[in-house]
Amino acid sequence: MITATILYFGSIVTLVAITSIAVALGESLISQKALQAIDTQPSAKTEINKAALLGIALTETSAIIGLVTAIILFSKTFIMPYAGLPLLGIAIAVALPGFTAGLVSAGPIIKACHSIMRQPFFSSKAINLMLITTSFIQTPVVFGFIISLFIYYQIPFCTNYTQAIRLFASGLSVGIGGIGSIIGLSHYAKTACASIGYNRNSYFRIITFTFISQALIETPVIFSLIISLLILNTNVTHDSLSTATALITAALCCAISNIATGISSGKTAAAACFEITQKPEAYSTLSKASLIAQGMLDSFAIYGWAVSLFILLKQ
Amino acid sequence: MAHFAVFKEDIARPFGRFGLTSPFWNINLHTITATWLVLIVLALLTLATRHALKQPHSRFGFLIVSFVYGFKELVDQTLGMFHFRHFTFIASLFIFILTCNMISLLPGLEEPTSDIMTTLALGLTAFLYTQYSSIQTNGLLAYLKGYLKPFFIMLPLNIVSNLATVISISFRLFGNIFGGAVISSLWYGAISSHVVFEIIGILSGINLTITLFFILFEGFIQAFVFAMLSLTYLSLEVRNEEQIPTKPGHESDNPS
Repeated sequence: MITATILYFGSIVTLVAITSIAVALGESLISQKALQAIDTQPSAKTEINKAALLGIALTETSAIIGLVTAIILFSKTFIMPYAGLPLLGIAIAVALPGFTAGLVSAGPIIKACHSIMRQPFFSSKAINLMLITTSFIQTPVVFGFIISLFIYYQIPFCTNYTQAIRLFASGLSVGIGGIGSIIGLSHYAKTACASIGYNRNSYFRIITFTFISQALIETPVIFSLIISLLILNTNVTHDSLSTATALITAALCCAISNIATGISSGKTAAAACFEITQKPEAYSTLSKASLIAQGMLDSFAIYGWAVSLFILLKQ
Repeated sequence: MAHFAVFKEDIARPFGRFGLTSPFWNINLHTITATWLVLIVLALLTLATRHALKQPHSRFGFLIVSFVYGFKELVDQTLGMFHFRHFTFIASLFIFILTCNMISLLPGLEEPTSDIMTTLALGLTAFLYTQYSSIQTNGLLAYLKGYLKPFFIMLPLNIVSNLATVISISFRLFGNIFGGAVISSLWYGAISSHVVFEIIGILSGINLTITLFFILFEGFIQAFVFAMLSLTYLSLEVRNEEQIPTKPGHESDNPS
């Protein structure tokens, strides 16, 4: 009972505190680098200001989502013994992606400010690219938020510990699975925003490439989301240690195999993006090579996903 | 989300009498209505375009023509050639999904794409079209041999990764649109409790921001991503190996 109460308040505090720390750190970095950029190129003051402000507003999304989730949790009283673990699951599902997104989405915005510093007359295109890439970074956080809402609505029907673990596993899957893709997305976004500053003629190639490769980088998150939804739909009627273990393993299997996939997929796409900047006329060859490599990398996420699926289907 | 009370039930079970009662066979009637409305909107748009293109100096006609040219250039770049059927297929996918994502601007409707069945159907359509075009271009034998590349051990992996494209492409569209729908319905549910909150929501601009971001921006991006990914998978199948073009200059990359 006491543990569950601690978990209840602990998850609320974690949700707000962890996302806020990350977002605050990211925003301070953005402001610092934007000021340095203005110092280097004072004539582009308005454009850099605008980019930095928009970027800060986008970075804040994860903190706002954390706050909203905390308020939703705070406004309801739960039946305590079984609500503790699901609440921890909600905290993990929102706070982990939110923390990562807050920390890493500073990178692309800083690079965009630097690009505007180099090419002041190209600012609107650079801001467009920055907005698109950074809003992709927030997608895993939104997925985590959706899963946490599902968990929240299922908490009242939770009558034993295995069901509590089921809800916890669902949050775990989408929470851990998001990290890798967020880091990969930010890595790609950083390179894309910086490339615009080096060669603005490659803008149209890069923006097409951005849509495709960012969608491919976030494929692992979608696998995690599917596993989370499947875990939420599993039928658990009575306490059983084997079911609980199976659910936790299924969540961890898919989520952990997604981390490295997301990061490496992002690095591959970033390298291709840089090469496209250097040689825009080789776009089709470069993009094809990068897409095939990303497809091969995604197959590792698919292995983890398939194993999780087999574990879940056996239940 | 508010619905008009058109149906007694939200879900029809036409196969229930044959014993197929699993959720897979259910039909969401709101999705069906919204999809038909999308088709009506597209038909009206087509008629309007046809009318506009007959006028000598019509702005709407100019917009449509520049959209078609821009899209054609995009498809040509990715495919490396002009192929009328591929172009129309990808463009239709894009326009249909875009209209689906934006149909919730009309009051009382929800996006058909926030139903997993619609997105799965779209993903399957794109997948089957890709496989069909691959067979048509390479021949059946070469197509089947492609599954054994690079080694014959890769056969199950190739099949799984081929099928995973369908799942990832359809769940990506579903997850994003459904997420936007959940968040905006949460917000509108929160402010609908009192008229003061509604006025605050309208005047503070949060309503506008949510609509702009989740319906217009996210809807456009997800439609574009779906079309581009289908195009990319298609180009990986139907495209021949070609060299890096050596011509200098980038005429099509002129920023303006």
